Amino acid sequence: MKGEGDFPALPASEGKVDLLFEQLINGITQGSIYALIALGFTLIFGTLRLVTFAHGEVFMMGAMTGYTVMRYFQGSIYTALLVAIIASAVLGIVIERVGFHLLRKAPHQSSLLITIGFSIVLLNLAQLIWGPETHSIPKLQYGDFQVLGIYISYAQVIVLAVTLLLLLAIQVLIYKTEMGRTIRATAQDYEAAYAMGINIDLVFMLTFALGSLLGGIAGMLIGFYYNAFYHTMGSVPGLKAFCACILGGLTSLGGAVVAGFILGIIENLAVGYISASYRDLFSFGILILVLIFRPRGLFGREV
Amino acid sequence: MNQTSVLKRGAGWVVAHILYLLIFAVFALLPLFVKDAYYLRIFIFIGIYIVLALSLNLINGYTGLLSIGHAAFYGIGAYSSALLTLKMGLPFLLALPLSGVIAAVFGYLIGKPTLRLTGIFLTLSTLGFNIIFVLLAINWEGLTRGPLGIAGIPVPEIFGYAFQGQEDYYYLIFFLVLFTLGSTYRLIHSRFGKALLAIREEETAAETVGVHTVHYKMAIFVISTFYAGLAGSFLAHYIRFIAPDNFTFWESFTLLAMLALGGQGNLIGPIAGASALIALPEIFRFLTDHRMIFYGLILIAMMLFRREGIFSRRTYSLKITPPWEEKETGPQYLVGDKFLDEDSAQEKDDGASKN
Amino acid sequence: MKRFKSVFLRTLLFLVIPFSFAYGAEPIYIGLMAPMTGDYAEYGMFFREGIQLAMDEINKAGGIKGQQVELVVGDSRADPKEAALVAQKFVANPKIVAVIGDFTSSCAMAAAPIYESAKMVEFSPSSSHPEFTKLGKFMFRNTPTQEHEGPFLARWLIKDLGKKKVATIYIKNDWGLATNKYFVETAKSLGVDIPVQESFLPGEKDYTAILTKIRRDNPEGLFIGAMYAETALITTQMKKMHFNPTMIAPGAIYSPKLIELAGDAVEGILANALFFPEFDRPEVRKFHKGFVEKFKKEPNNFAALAYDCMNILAHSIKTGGPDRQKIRETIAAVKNFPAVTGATTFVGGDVVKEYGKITVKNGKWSAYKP
Repeated sequence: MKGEGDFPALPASEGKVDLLFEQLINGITQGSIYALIALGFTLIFGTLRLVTFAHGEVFMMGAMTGYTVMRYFQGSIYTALLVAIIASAVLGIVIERVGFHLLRKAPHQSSLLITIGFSIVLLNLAQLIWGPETHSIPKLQYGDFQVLGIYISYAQVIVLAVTLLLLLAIQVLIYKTEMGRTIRATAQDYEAAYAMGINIDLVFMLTFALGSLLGGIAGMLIGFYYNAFYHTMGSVPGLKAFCACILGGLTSLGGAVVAGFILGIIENLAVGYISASYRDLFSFGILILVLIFRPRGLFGREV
Repeated sequence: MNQTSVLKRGAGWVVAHILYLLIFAVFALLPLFVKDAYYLRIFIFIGIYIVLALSLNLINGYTGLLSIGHAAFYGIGAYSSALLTLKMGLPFLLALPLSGVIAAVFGYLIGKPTLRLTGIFLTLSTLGFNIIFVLLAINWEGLTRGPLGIAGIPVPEIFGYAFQGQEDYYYLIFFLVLFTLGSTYRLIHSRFGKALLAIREEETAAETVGVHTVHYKMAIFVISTFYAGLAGSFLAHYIRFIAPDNFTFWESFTLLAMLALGGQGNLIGPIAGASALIALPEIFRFLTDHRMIFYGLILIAMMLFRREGIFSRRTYSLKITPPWEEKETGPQYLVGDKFLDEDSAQEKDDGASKN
Repeated sequence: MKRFKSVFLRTLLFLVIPFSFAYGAEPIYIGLMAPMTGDYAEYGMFFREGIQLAMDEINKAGGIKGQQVELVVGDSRADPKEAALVAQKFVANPKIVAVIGDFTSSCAMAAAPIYESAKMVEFSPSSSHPEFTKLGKFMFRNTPTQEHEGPFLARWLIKDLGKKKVATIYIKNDWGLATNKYFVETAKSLGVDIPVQESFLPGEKDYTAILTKIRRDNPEGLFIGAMYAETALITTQMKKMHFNPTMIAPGAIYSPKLIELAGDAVEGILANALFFPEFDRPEVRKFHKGFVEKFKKEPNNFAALAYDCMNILAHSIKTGGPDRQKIRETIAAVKNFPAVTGATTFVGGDVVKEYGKITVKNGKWSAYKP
């Protein structure tokens, strides 16, 4: 039988600061995930000008394939990550080819509806493959350390570190490389880009793959952080991606990232101070408020 | 010159509409030769979804917007009706229309700030409201009993007659379907309806001609949510137990699949789509377990191969021209923003009148 | 000798088969209404397996007065609308004499009016919402309601173990709300107020915020009103936070998967149980052995409850015949039936059963010893 609470009770005032600090840490961790998934989504939207409802399911598929590699093929976490990246990139390409490329000439609504279709299909397919239960990696443990009386687990550090690394990598890719320049040019004005000889078809495909694999990595991170893998794990994060993207400004990559962190922190403060059931209400409430009062979000261009 | 007597005109009307009358008769008399409660139940659900699909069709099909959160209004209607009858003791006959009105009020409240948005912004806000509705339904336990849902919703009582079997519900939904169909038809074939089509085809042009687009969008949104509320009220008193889960955005997506399959922008598409997507999973056993995947695949397939749906934009008519009628009673065509009308003597299409 | 035996047996079979046809080998059909797909599919599966095991045993012993029993499965997906449709299908099939189901209370209750008006027994292994059996004379359940489960756990934690400061965390669905309510009510009657009660929505997986809030109060005991998947997450996160109150939860968490997912984070967790292999009674041993042999895995509470439902139904049919109305009467009269989940007597549609106590010790489920 475990001992009674190891953690000694703090006087009331310290307890309050304690809660705040803890929730901030939680918020930053979750915010990292939101930032990653919003980043991938915004990358896709910014370039193709189209919303993909299937992003959450790509996130989920990344996580599930990574889990399968580790659990059933005795892969290491690096193999799992690699498989997740490949799987989500491939999935992204498939969605792009079927949902956007083939519907180039169609109104945007058709592509939107196809991604809704993909979302439904992927979700239910995942349930058929992996079942409805929640899966975990047995014996997955993380150590932790103390800072100012708060325990921070190594997992939280890893999530934040990986997120920041990826953000940096994307930043470099988009702004410092040839490929990045091509993507930006296409995003800004694909007709002009086409006129300049850029293979926009390839750009679209690559961007979708890139955005999707970011989603897949985010999925892996979340899956391993909570050690919970299940077929509906992508639905809500996918929707939160919309919230973050809109809040940040539809076409602003940096905005999406900042918005992701903001949402993560606000959610956890709401949970800490009000109630856990209100978590989603805050994020979606923010979505509605932004759409109504400032559709271009925090950093977007004038709509 | 037509010198038809009243009798002849009456007979002419019957002949012209004979197919419609036959269909009406078949469905009106259905409970006489379909006794199995299980099959009646399926027809009833088809009826519910026909009303829902027709109502969403007004927004997505006729006005050209994309609302993906329609289930919220379905839910508002259901909860309203449940609470009106349970908590306030109102009779069903009053609760039914009131629920439609309450749903419409929310349609107004939600439409006001969002219908001036365009494109993806509007779409995302409809999704957002659907999600928020469900969250509120789960969390506002004082009002909705949260995830427990509301059970024991009373059986409808109309003029002292309490519903007993499936046939009673069948006739009620039959009536609601006719009501929705009839009023929608009148709406579409009025000047109001033409304004909607103008908005769908070319919004900026419509504006310049003096059509206050937001005004019309609001109106159609409110009307559409009214029907959804009616459907919700029926559902509540039919299965007599409702919970937030029944009205999530997945339910909204099901409606989208119905419109995608059947087609929107006319009256037969939603009917066909709703009927197909409810009936098929019951007919084919392997579909029963995989209903949602089926709906998702339908969405994908239709968008790829026939994104207008099976019954695409042109309006359809089953009218027959009796030999003594000289008037052209063909379908209406949409050519850009020109409307060909059986009343106007304007251009006739290249002779062909049936589709 | 062997050859003689086989020839003898085969001849016997040849002679017996036509006679078994004469016996009206028309089987007796029992319906199973449960979630076979969707979020709760695994529980529907356990129901099915429990029933199947019981049916195999019954059929091997010659069936019920010569008639074999067979199962007809209807998938309710844990959706009340679907449950009503399944109920409709079942009552319209004259061959089905009774129905076992549903798993969730909301489905059982949605289907109840249909069974009631068709005068067919709806026997739920697991529905614990107090209102279920009030919906009709044909509604029966094999598990005590949450009116009993919550108080049992509260008495255990507060009276027996003397915890004075308790908090609760529970899932916000019909089951979780009810189970929390009765726990808290009993705690209050025992003199322990529970100011901190945190709920979470199904699908939530990050409990650190809630747990941080709870921990501030420094409770000695924590009641976890959730199923095994969420409990695994909650306890793992508690461990990460070094938050170690005494944990107690409803028997729904009894599953080898809980330990598999949570490891030593659930060491010491307390739960009630109707079925546990270590409760040493002959019917328990028979069930456990048969289940493991047939399905190559450990059974759980739900499989046991469904197994019992089938046996109780078989007993009723044996006594009063395979008639829908008769079954109702004979079930209602059942007293002290030696069920795997405890001696079963019906009071109206409800059962009176005693709970046992189990805990996780050294990484395994064991009977609780104070």
